[in-house]
Amino acid sequence: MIEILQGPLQYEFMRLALVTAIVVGVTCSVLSSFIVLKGWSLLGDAISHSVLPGIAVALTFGFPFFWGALFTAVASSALIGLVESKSRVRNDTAIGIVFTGAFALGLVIISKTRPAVDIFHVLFGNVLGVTFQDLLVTAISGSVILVAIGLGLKEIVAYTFDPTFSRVIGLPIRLIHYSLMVLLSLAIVAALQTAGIILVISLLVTPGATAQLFAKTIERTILVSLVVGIASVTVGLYLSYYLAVSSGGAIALVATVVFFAAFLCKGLKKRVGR
Amino acid sequence: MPAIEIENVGVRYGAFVAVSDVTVLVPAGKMIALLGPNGSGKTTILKVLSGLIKPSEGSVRVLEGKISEARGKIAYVPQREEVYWDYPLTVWDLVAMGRVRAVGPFRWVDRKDPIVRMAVEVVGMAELSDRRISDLSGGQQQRAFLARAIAQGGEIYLLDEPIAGLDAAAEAKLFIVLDFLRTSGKTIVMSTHDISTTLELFDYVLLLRNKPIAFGSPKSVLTSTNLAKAYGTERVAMHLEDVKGVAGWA
Repeated sequence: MIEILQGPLQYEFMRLALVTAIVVGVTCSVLSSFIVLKGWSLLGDAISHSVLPGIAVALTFGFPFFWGALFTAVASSALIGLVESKSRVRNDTAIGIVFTGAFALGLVIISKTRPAVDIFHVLFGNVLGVTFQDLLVTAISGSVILVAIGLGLKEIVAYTFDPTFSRVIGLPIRLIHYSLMVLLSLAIVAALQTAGIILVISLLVTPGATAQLFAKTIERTILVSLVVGIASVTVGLYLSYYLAVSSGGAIALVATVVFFAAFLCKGLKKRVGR
Repeated sequence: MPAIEIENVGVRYGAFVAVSDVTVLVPAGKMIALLGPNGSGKTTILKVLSGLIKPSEGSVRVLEGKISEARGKIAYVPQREEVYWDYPLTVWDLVAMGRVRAVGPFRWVDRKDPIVRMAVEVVGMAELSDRRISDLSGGQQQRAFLARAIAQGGEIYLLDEPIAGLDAAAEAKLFIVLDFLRTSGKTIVMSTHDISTTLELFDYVLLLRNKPIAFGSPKSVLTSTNLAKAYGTERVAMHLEDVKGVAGWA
């Protein structure tokens, strides 16, 4: 058993990958509790797809893709908000329009400029290719997210539960709303290397959704979500090593399996309870 | 002291007039019902009073000042359907939310906060403090909301359709709390579309159909002529007989 656990860790790239994946797991699962409770799963999916043009432009002009991705992530979330508030178009439709548009733009740019980076890795993640610098960027992003949530927890809970009430008592709800959007964008960008554009949403939704099946308070939701998130990235990474399969795919798949296992357990428990 | 002064207030959404020509003065320590059919402007008035929307015309003063100056003292109790009850919160957590503003940023609401405890006790839910809000009945959910408003230190309580969907027993429990608040000098504004016996518990009724039809004591407002103007004749005649019979006005 210990050999199985230690096996991959003899390689430098695996150690880096594991640490990065855990940092991503922690960050995403804490945020995930709020994404799920606020009903922002689709929005998260949209933002993650929208980073493609940012990455494409960054790769073409050779600046760090982190900034390109972060810029398009924030811009697309702002654009969705704008379309939604200034027209009769509903939220899900605004999301559908903006994210396919942005994703298409990214695709068009990439097909034209043909950057040297494997598009497959951008879409589905390549945690085995992370450098120490990538880990540093991920860790800093993660810390910003965790500190922000820690400092504003009671306001975030109040806003995500009851925005009207929060507004009446005079909380800065616009600030809270847009901060959450920026944090979401940051988490997506930080998790890109690990899970990729398409699969990152699994880390931002599934742990929180699993926790919501069981937890009674928001603190416990975050805690259960953390356990699910860390377990998913760790088990996923080992599976990807031993089975030689895509790391992003393995991580997302483990998270999904955990959710359905929890879902089944809950169903069985209810039945026994009766 | 006037708690609420509404003068010639109107709210328009584009060409649609939600409500117009509302002039109402409510002294502190009174309970007023906004009565009218769906879409008659009740919620609009509550939203104006809570500062959620600005009136297109007229002026509003709350506690002898601007709404923005009374922020913490205006307690808005939304319709129950407006929030996601599966949110992982206990009754205590929900009530503690009322303290968020007072406690201020970067600090937690204490797990033993005396004001939260008081609020939970006032609404008679001390034993349910630790229960998850999704496991509450409709009446309990409504009282938990009210406890949050009390913890907030509200002077003006704005309740949007709080008795919709409650049974008589739950309704009675809610009114016990409201009556207690009124006795302690709080002002309560509540919207309802039901012409029910509970209206006799109010000091004033404002009958609406996009503009005021009548304002005054329940007895003076709830006449068949007034109600017919608000609701259309047939339904009202039926309701009114019930109300009068039970309230002992017949």
